[in-house]
Amino acid sequence: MPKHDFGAFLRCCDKEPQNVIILRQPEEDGRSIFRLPTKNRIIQFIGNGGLEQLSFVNTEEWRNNFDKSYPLYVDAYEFRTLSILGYIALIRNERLGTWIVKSFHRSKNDPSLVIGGLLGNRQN
Amino acid sequence: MSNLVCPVCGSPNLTQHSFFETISESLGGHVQLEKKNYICAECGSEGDLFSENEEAAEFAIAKLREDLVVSILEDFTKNNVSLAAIERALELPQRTLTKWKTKSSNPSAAGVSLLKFLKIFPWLLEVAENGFEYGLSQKLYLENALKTFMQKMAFEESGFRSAGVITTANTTVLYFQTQKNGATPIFADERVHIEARGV
Ligand SMILES: [Zn+2]
Repeated sequence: MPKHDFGAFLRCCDKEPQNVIILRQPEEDGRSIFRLPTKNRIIQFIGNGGLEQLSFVNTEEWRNNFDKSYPLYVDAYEFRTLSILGYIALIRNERLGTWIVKSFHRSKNDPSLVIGGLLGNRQN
Repeated sequence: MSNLVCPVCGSPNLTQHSFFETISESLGGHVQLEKKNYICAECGSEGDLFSENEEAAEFAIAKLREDLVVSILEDFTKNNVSLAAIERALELPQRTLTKWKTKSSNPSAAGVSLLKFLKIFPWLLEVAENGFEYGLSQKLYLENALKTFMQKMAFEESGFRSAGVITTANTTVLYFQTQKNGATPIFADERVHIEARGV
C-alpha cells in the first residue's frame, strides 16, 4: 500500500505547483528522457494526467532524513507515457506541505533498456 | 538564505551553488545557462528548490526555438521552396511564416513541431498540397522511403544477397544487384535495382 494519497499529489501539481519540488536528477531526467525541459513543465505534465497506467511499486522509509523523530516515506510507481515505461518516486512532507519528486526516469522494466540492469536500475 | 529551509527535510542548513547547464533544442542549437541550485547539508537534496531558474530556462528555450524556426524557413527558401507556397499548402494565412522568420510574431509550440516535421520529411508538404488524400499520401511516403533506401544504404557484397523477393498480400518486390559494365560503382545506389509489381 502506498503511504501517501497519489490523488492529492496530482491535485497539488494542478492547483499548488509551488509546493511540488523536483530535485536536480529528476529535473535532468525529465529533460533528457521525457522532453520536459523545465520543472514547471514536468509538474504541468503530471497534473494533466500524464502518468498513465499508474502502478504502485513499493514504499520505503527515506534513509536520508536527518530528523529521525519524523520519518519520511518514499512511494514509488511505474507509469506509461506513449512508448516509455516510466518510474516516479515521491516523498511527502506533511509538516512542510511539500511533495518531493526524487526520481523520474525510465523504469528498469522498460523493454527499450536492453542493458537495464546497468543503466535503468536507478531506483534510489 | 536566512529564512529558507530545505523543502524536503526542513533543515535550514542550505548552501547555494552555481553551475552551467546546456539547454538544447532538438534540430536546433544549444546554449549554456547559468543556474543556481541549493544543496541541503542534512539530507543531501539538491535542486532548484525555490524555482529560481525557471524564468531564465524558459527564456533560453524560447530563444533557441525562434532561431530554429528562422533556420528551417531559410533552408526552405534556399531550396527554392517559397514561404508563400508552404503557407498555401498548409492553409496558413499568407505571411504567417514571414512573420515567424522576421520574429515579428512567434509560432506556438505546435507550429514549431510542424516545422520540425517538415524539416525532417519535406515531402509532407506534398501530402498537404494534395489535401491529405490517404492513397496518395501512402504513395508519397513509400516513394520517398525507397528513394532514401537507395541513396543511403551501403550494400555490402558479403552481407546482402544479390537477389531476393519480398512479398506481402498485395505486392511483390523483386530486387537484384548488378555491376555496371564491370566498373567500380561510384555510388552504392548504382548497384541495386528494385522493381515493384502489384499482384
Ligand atoms: Zn534537507
